[in-house]
Amino acid sequence: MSDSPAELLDDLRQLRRKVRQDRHGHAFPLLLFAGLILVAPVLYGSDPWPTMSPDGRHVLIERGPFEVFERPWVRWGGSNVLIQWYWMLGLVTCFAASAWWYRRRADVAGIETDTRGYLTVAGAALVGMVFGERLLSHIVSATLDTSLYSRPEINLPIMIGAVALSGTAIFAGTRWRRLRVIGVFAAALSAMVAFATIAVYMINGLAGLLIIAVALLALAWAERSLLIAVTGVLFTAVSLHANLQGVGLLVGSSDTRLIALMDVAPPAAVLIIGGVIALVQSRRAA
Amino acid sequence: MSAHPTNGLNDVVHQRHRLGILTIAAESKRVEFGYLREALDLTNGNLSRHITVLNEAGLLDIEKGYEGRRPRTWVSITETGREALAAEMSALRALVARHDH
Repeated sequence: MSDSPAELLDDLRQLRRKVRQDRHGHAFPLLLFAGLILVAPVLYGSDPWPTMSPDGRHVLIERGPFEVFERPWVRWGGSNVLIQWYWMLGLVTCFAASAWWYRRRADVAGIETDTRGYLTVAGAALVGMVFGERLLSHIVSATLDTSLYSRPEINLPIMIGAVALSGTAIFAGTRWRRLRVIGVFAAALSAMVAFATIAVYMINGLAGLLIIAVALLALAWAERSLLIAVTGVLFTAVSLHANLQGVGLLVGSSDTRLIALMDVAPPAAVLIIGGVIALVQSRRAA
Repeated sequence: MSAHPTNGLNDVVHQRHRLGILTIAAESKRVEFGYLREALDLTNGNLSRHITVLNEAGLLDIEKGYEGRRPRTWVSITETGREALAAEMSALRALVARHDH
């Protein structure tokens, strides 16, 4: 390195670029999430029989613990608890596995990516979408006797307010050191509320895709990677489409597994392409 | 009249290899001694001395451990280290800007 300020800054810029390349390890999480998504359709066809009430006249529909992962139009006969648990445990396992991967990779490469921000954002998205949406809908239903989905004039101000509060908390936490802990807490809490309001509109029951999308965008920031940022943005777009409309019903089949596969195939394809490119890049760099 | 940008330079940080160590550490959660040695092309002794200076100034944390039977030393940047690095980079940019005008 040289001693002139301009050359020194340039050297440090190049050093930073090299370090970022050396610590990139996102092929594994991208392919891992693609695998999680592609296995899910297998479980969508296993709806249990309806549960009869003791008098045999009514069908009891269990909502299941994580309803946001349920496809409403295939649960006419009862709740598919299996797919709800699959998404919940699968997502938690994939987040934990990717954190383990970066730790293990550090032992080999000698440099470790900081995944704390990625895990915080992923956790906020998971909790917000799974539990926050249910809580928020219950509160609105009990106090205003209406559903959030049909009342965007209630839901959207909550969403915008939560996003603004989260942004303010992040700014305060990074700007003033003594506010860091409370800033992170307030940002995570308001982000959960924001994710809860978004989950209200995920009517196709594929909220798991959006949780992965949010996590990928946080990972792109942690990795400072253009590839994962582009992959994350494309994945977010196709995941939103899959949640709001999807292509599954266009197939004209009554096979719930095939419909689910058609819906999740485009997001999974984006991750596979991104993962393969990342793999090739890391092989070339090695 | 504003202060000259050199007033913003920190004697501990304003050394090219220490700046390199802090820059690498700021880009990661933690970095291993061997990686720093290779990336900065330093000898064990030189790197060790720089890390000790930065550690004593509260800019780096050191974590010693073993991988199997092999000893490994990891360093991570502290909050004070991040602030010192940011201040140093600002001072360098101000110097370049002053030189360009």
